[in-house]
Amino acid sequence: MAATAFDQPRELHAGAGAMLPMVAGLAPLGLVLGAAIANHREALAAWSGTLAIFGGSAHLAVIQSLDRGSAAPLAIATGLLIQARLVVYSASLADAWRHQPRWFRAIGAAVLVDPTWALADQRAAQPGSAADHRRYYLAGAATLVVAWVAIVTTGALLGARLGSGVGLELAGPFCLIAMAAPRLIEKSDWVVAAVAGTVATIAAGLPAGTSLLVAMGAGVGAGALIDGRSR
Amino acid sequence: MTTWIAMVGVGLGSYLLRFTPLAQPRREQWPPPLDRAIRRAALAVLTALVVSGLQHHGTDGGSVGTLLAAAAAVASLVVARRRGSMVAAVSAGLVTYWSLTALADVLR
Repeated sequence: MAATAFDQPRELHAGAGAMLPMVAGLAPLGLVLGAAIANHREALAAWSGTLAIFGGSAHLAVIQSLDRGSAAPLAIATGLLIQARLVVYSASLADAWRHQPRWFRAIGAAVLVDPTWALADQRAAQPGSAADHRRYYLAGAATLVVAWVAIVTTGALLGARLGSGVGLELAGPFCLIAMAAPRLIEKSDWVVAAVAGTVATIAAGLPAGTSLLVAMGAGVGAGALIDGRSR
Repeated sequence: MTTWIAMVGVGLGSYLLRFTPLAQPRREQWPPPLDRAIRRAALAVLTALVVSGLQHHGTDGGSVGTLLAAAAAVASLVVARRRGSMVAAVSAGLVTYWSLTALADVLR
């Protein structure tokens, strides 16, 4: 069914409205990220990742990795590892978006992240034309982009006033905990986290952030070992 | 310059990760072992970053500061698992940390 002129604002309002609660949930991460940007030695470069990376956890991880002395290749690898889940999101939308024009897939991909994926996946399961789905997604994504940049920039402007000396800097690790918690599904996931955390503690003295790679390798290795035993 | 390189690198890499499956839509899925390895690598990196953040805090607050931060991290994890909310998880962690710090000050 073709979209009517009446449907267009309805889809736009619905997409933007559905994104607002998710924006509220992301606000603490955005503020913490902004504070991390303000405290980074190349603040403008760090801020540029707000749109370039468009992923709070990966962006924060890259900044923290650089702050710990990692070289650019290691920081990039860290960020891309966290962003790797986006391949799965993208692949899951490939079928629903196969009738969408290429320009939309190109733009839609640029802002594909957990909240926009959730919105697209939810809308794809409901009736409507390809144009309806497109307007809904674009409205939700635009809302997120504007709000995300505003929140991160606010955090960056408040900068050091957010948290120095009162423990608010711990909000960063707590945000990462909130991101890791839903990934703890199977028993093997707990083992992966425990091994990675233990190894990161032991390897903290290693040079230039290599403890991250060592911890990651140990965690993935432990998970593979459990898989091998359960077969 | 290092930060610019990192931001551009992660930005370009992220776009490739996001767009590649959409460029040529197919129904194929990733092999399960690879899918699991990617998922676990991200979990391991997040955990290592949490530990690193807590240790970094410990260098400012001493070993007691690290212990208090670790206890607050456990509270944050419990709330994150139960509520599934980032706001609740961060709030629980911070309130626990502030409460324990106040208690430690009283006991000193």
